[in-house]
Amino acid sequence: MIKTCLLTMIFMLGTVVYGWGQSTETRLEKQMIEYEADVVQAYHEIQNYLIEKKINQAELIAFEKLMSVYVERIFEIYSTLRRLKGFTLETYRGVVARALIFRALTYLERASESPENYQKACDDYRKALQLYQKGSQIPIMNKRLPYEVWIGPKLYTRLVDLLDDRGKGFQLLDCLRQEDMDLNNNRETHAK
Amino acid sequence: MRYIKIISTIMILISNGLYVYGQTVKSLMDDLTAASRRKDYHAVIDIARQIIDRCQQNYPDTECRHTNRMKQVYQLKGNAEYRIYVREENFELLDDAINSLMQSYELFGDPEVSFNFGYMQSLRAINRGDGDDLDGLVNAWRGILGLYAQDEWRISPELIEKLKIFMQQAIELTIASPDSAQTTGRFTGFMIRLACDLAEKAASGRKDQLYFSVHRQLTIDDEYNLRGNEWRARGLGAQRKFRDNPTDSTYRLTRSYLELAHRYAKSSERQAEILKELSKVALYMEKNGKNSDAETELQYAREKARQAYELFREHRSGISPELENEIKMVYGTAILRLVDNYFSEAVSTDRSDAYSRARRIGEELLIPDGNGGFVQKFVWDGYEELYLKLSDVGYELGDENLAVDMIDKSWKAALKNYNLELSHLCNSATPVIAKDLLRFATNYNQIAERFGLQSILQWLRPIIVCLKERAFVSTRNVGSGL
Repeated sequence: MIKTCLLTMIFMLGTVVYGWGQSTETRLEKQMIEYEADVVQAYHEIQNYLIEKKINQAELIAFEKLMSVYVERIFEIYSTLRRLKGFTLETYRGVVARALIFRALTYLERASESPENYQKACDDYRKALQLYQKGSQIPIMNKRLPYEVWIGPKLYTRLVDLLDDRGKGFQLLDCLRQEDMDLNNNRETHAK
Repeated sequence: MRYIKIISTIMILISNGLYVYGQTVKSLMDDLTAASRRKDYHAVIDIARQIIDRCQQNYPDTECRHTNRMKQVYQLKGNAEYRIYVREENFELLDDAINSLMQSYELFGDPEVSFNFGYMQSLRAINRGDGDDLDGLVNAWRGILGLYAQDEWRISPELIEKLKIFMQQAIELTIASPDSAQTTGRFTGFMIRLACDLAEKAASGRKDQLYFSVHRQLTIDDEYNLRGNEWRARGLGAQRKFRDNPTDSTYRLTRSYLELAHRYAKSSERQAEILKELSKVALYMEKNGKNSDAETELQYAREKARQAYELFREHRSGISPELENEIKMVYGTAILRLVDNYFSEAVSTDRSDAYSRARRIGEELLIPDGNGGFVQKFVWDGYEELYLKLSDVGYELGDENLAVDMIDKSWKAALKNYNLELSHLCNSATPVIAKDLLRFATNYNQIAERFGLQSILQWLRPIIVCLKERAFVSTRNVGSGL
């Protein structure tokens, strides 16, 4: 009798702890998605702003910084989830990768006047690709977005279309090409 | 004896120094906490500086390695600097407070600290009218998101208060900026919408709900007049360039920006202000422009100033006394310059027609005075000059009533302007004033002579003699190098 009671109590406690763990994860995941929505919203705002051709440097820089605030938060949640579960789901990696790509696109808007920005965009792009490569069948760039991105009258459903249409795809591919060239140069130097 | 005193003072100073040096960082930190509890802000800053100095030495105490404690040192220092800034309004202290809190944040990443220095950065930007400085809003928002996460994504009443402060600063930053900033207000508007999104999740009291929904709607409808602000900023910026280089292109650009600012202006005060600026720009073009068409510019200036004045009459309570005075001055100046323009055209065109036009324009500012004459609708800085010009017009047209009425009002206005009384005129008028008053008196004399007004001539003659004497004294003194 006592044995049964004890077993029932342990089982119930386990269920509560498991349930608590689940709710924390769900809450973190929900929050991550909410932050991603804010990132996309900020990206929308910047694009509308650029379409009107009323570029104000201070505001554009402020938007860049705001994007960084959100990316920091998303990364924090991502790290917490990884610590909690010991592994990460493709959905979590997708959120982080997409946020990084949107930030990279924002950095690219001021790449011509600030070479640092081009470097930052490259870093984000690279990080996003690395994050999502692990175990996913379709690359993040070609995957259908879980939401719609409207820029002016155009609708985008994949990041790759967004990049190509905005003329940013080649710029970001150039970063990877440059990185490959640097790697080859290093290898040649070492070989000598 | 004297030497003993000096030596003992030096000894005391050295021993104090040694005592401070001899204190450990830990005991200094205890002193810091105690000073902070006593609200002795000067002591807090002093002790915190000592701790920071000691920790920057080659072999610092172990206490310096505890980021949690060092974060506290910078935070207490920053808070104390801010408190003193509030009391003394010393902006250097505000800068120091921001730097201290930023260092504290770098050490520990406390969201409360991020919100606080973000708030201070925005406060500084608002005070400086520097709407381009948006870093404060970003940092405060980082703090808000951090606090939200710290509280397990629940919105506490404290966070609601912080969101309200944040929104208020975003609004003030946009509204306070027009003179210096060229922002479109898009970023601040976006931040207000984000803040409303976050606050509305809490769905707390009805009052709060109303507050956030009203602000969201105001932002969406551009009721803070962000667009108008932007065009105003561009217009005022272009106006500065136009004043340095008054060409056709700078003039057109300034006018088109200001006209857009007028179109998007939401309040009657803003509309009146922009109309006044448009009038000022046209007046400047007429006087200094390289290829200006005087009559066109002056008519434009007059029309815009008239519209500004009408707005002032309709919405008197919503317009500040400073703006009211400026509107009156611009309107008066536009009319005076237009009257003068037609008056001088009489040499080359039909004289009577030109004088009549000048009179018609001048009459726009006149209303009956109840004694058969006319008085200007309002007093403005230089209104005696318009009376004087209209007396010239009356003289040329042979209209005795107009000429005499206007010169009399002009004379009285000039005396009032210099705060002089007729009875003490000769003793009180300085040489410069005497010279200026002589213009009015001579015109008065001329009109009186033309229309045979003996009584006026009689009282005017000694005044002219006296004014000439005083003005002549000044010329003679200047000539002799006195």
